[in-house]
Amino acid sequence: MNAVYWGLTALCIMGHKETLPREETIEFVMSCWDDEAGAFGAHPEHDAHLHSTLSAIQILLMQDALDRIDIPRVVKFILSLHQPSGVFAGDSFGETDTRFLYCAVSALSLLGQLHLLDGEAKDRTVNYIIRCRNFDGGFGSVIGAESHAAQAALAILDRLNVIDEETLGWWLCERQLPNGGLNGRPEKLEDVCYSFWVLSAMAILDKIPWIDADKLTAFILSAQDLEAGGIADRPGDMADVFHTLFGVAGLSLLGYPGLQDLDPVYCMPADLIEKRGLRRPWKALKRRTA
Amino acid sequence: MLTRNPGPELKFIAESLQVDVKNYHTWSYRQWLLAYFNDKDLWAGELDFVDAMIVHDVRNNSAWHHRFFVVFQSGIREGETDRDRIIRRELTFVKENISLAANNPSAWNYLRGILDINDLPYSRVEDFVRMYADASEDATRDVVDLENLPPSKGAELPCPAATEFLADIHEKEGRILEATELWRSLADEHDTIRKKYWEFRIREGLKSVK
Repeated sequence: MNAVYWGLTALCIMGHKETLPREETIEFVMSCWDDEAGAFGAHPEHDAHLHSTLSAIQILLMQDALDRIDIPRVVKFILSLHQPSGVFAGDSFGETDTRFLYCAVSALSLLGQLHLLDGEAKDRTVNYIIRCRNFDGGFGSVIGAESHAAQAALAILDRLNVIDEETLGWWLCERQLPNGGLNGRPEKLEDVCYSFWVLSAMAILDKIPWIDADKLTAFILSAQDLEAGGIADRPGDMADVFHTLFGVAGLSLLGYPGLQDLDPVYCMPADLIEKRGLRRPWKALKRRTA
Repeated sequence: MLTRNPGPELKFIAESLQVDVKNYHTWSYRQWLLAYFNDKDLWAGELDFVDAMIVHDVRNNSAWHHRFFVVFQSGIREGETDRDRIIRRELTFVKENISLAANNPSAWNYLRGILDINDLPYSRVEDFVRMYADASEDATRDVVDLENLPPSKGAELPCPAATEFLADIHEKEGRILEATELWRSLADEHDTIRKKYWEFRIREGLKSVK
């Protein structure tokens, strides 16, 4: 399910959405419906999970087929995973992670149901994220965990005011290595996917200008497989759909010519998000003409 | 089988980390185990464990992060009530490791962390930081001063993280022009990939002077 979302989004950004057949894509998504849980799994017969549910919603939105979803049931599933501490579990087995928090908030928002996470529920969600802030200014995936790239959830919840934007912006721009690539934590290798994870956060904070855009662009392009196609995590490695999407997404945010605008908060086509009235403040680099 | 016996898990985690020293989830599990059981016997060997991981790879950010958790964010255990002693110990530890490998962001972040969480001014380590922000050769000394361990021979100086640190000290002490000189050197020479960020710092700094 996630791979379909990655592929479809990449195609949309490159202006070739029609490459994936609409009906078959929708059929695949619906075949992953877990009727017991009231949400979507990653594949037919798989248990429902928050991540695959978000991907399903995103795909159906891009295919203009959101009406196929039993929205009340999906919302019930999402809210059932909200923990007292404010974080979300990914499924009934209980793994918690701020990335699941993001999935929940994004899914509710795309379904137009974010208002159901209000008052005390919203506060404890935001407070959980705040408690994930570390001594180096970054955020971890659970309270106490090492800083790792991404905070779009706060943007969706309109609570970016709780962030020290300059310190976070600094921690994020420190991810850029001399070769132009971005890593996810200090002293780790550069990886194309951070071109999105880090860059989207910086777009939300309106700090993309702090990144050396030319070098990052060159790095992403150098990770392409020029024979078989696609983009890998770094030059010389095998390409895959995941890194292809995040490479293309990064290039879009950097203003690469010929691409569609991408909304970094939702990682979806910007015009779609705008049409649904969900656009939050963010700033990408101006699209260059070839 | 639920044993609720966490001891062997620490050994299991240590073995797993041998294979993948920075695995995010493994470190997270270790942290959870220590916090959940909060057993003094479990904590007893933890500083030694983190020491060994840092000796094995001084650039392991996960290990540095874990050390901060163990020392400063998991309560005060028996024998650790003299916080000044703990602070001095940690400052010495991080300085030793910076002396060993100057261009290590994890160590510099840790140094900032010690001062921030204990509300200590950055100027407290100014003499130490200057040695690393200084490109000249005579930063090495004959007498070993534990407060101010110099860079080891062959270190690439100036160390951008040190320059940045020194600029922050200048800024906090109101010496904006000195700070902007250092930011300029970072933008133009020593950390050009972040040129735009350093130019932002210069602009903001000069704004505050007006």
